[in-house]
Amino acid sequence: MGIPQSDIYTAILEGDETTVTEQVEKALQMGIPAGVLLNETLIPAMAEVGDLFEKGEYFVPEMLIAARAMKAGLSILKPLLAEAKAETNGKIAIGTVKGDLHDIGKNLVTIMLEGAGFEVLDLGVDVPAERFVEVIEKEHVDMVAMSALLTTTMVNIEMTMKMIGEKGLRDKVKIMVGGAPLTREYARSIGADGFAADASQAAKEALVLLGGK
Amino acid sequence: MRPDLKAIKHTEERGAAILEQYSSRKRVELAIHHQEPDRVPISLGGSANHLTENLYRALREHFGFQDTGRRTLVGFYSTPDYNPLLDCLGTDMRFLHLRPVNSFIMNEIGPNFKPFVDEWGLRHELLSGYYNLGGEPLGHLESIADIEKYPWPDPNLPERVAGLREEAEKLFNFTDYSLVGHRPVYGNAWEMSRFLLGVEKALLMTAKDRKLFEAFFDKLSDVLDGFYAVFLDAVGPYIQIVEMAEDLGTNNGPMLNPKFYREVMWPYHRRTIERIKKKAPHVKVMLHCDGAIRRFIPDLIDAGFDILNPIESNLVGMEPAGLKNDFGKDLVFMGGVDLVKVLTRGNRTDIQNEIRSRVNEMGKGGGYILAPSHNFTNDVPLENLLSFFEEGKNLGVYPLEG
Repeated sequence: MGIPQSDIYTAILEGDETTVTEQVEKALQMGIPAGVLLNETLIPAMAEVGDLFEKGEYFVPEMLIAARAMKAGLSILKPLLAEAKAETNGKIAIGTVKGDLHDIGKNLVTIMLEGAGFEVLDLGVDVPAERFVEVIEKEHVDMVAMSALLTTTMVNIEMTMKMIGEKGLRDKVKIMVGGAPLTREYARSIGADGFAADASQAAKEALVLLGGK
Repeated sequence: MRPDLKAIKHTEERGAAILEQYSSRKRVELAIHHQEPDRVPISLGGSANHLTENLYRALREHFGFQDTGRRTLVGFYSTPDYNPLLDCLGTDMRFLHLRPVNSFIMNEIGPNFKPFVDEWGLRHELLSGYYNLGGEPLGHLESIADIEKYPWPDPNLPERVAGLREEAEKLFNFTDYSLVGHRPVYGNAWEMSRFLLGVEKALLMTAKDRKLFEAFFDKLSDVLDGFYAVFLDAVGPYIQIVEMAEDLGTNNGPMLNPKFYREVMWPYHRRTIERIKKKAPHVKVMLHCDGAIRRFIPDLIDAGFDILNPIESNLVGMEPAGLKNDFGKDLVFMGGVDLVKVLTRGNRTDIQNEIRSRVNEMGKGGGYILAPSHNFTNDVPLENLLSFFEEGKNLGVYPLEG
C-alpha cells in the first residue's frame, strides 16, 4: 500500500469500493482535509475515467463501478465538506423530458456530473415542463439538463425551454441537452447553452458552462 | 431472356409498375446469399422495422383495407396483423410470430392500454407510443440459488404454437413471399438480462460479478433457446430467416466492453446459432442490434450471424459504404435508411437520394435488404412512408447505377 491518495485514485479507476472507503478514512485520519481529497483525488480520478471512456478503453460498466467507488468515498467526505462550507461546482437539475421514459443515458450523465463535483438534483423520467420551471424557481439550480431518446419526445425539450423563457427564468440557468436524436446543431438552433453526446462529455461541458462559478 | 431492367427503370414514369423478374421469395433468397436479384428486397414488419399504431391506422385509412382483427406478438409488444397492409405496400417479407401465452394482454396503443405483469414477472406499460418493460423481477439476484428459485417460463406450452405450423405452411404454399421467423422472445439473453435485472445491475454485473453473471446468462440463454426450438419445430421448414435481438451499442460505441462480450456472451450467442442451424440448416440468422457497434462486428460474424439490422447509418462507424467494404463478404445488411433526419424531416427528393445512396453503397453483389434505420415513429409523415415504399421499389432495381 502506498500513500492513501494514490490508492484512492487507483481504486476509483478499478471500481474498488472497499479500498476507496478504507483509504479515504485513512487519509482523513492522517489529517488530509476533505476538500483536498475531493478536489485533488476523487474528481481527478473520475476525470480520468471519463477520458478512458472517451478513448474507448473504458465502457459504461467500468464507468459505473468507478462512479460507485467514487460515491462511496464522497459519502464519507460530504458531511465534512458541509461543515467546512465547501462549495460545489454548482447545482444541476436533470431529467428526461415529458413523454420520455428512457433514462439510461440520463443516469450516466448524473453519475459523471456528481463525479465532476456538481450537486445533482435528479428529477427522474417523464418530467413535465412545469416541474423544471418549479425547480428553477425553488431550488436555485445553476443548470438544467434535459434529455430525450426519441424524435417524437425531442420536441418537448424545445417546449420546456419555451416555458422556462416565458416564465422569465431563462437568464437564471444554463441549459444543457442531450439524447440519441440530438445534435449540437439542433441544440444551438433551439437556444440551448450546451450539448453533450455522452456522459463524459456532459461533465466536461457542464464544467465549461458553469466555469465562472 | 432477362429484360433490360435498367432501361425500364429509366423510361417508366414514377409510380408505374416496374417489371419484376423474381418472386419475393426468390429475390430474398438471392439477396441473403450475396447475389443480385432483380431489385433490392424491401421490408416492413421485422425487428426495428415497425410502425406505431397511429401510422398503421393512417396507412389503413389511406389504402382502405380492413383489419384482420388478429394481433401478433412482436418482441415484447403487439401489433395489428400487418399482412393486408404489406400486400398494399408490396413488401417482400411476411413474418411469422410465436403466440403469446394466454395471460398476455395483446394491447393496442391507445387510451384502452392495460398495464399487466407477464410470465417473466415483467410489468408492461406504455408511453409516447412505445412499450416499456419494468419491474426488474430479478433485480435482487445475489446468488446461484436466486437463479434456481426464479420461476422460469416454460417454452413448451402448447398455446405458443397454436395454429402456427398451419399458418406457415399456408403462406409457404399459397404465396411467393419470403417468410421470416420474427424473434420468438422479447429479446435475446443480454436484452432480457437488462429487463430482468434492471439496466444498471446488468451493466454492473458485467464489470463486478462475472461468475454470477455468466451462470445467469447461461441459464437465461438456455431457456430462450427453448423458445427458438419450439418456434423452429413449427416454422423451420418454411422460413428463410430467423431473427435474434441484442442491443450491444450506444450512439457512440459499445454499451459494454467488447472483451467481455467475446469472453462471456459470445459463446452463448454461438451456442444459440448452432442450435438454430441444427434445427433449420437452411435458415439465415439475423441479428437486430442498435447503435454504433462496429467493434463487435467481427465477433458477431464469428458467432455465425448472417444478417445485421438495423444499421443506424447516422452513427460513427456505421457508415454504410464502410460496413459493406469491410464486412459485406460475410454479412447481409438490412436497414440503414435514415429515420432521424430523412424519413421524419425530409421530403420525397431527400428520401429518393437516401435510398439511392443506400442501394448503391450496400446493394452491390446482393446482400442488402431495404429498411429504415429504426422503427417508423409517429413523426414520420404519411407521404414519407408511402414515398419510402414506392421509391424503394423503383430505385432498388439491379443492375445498380454506380
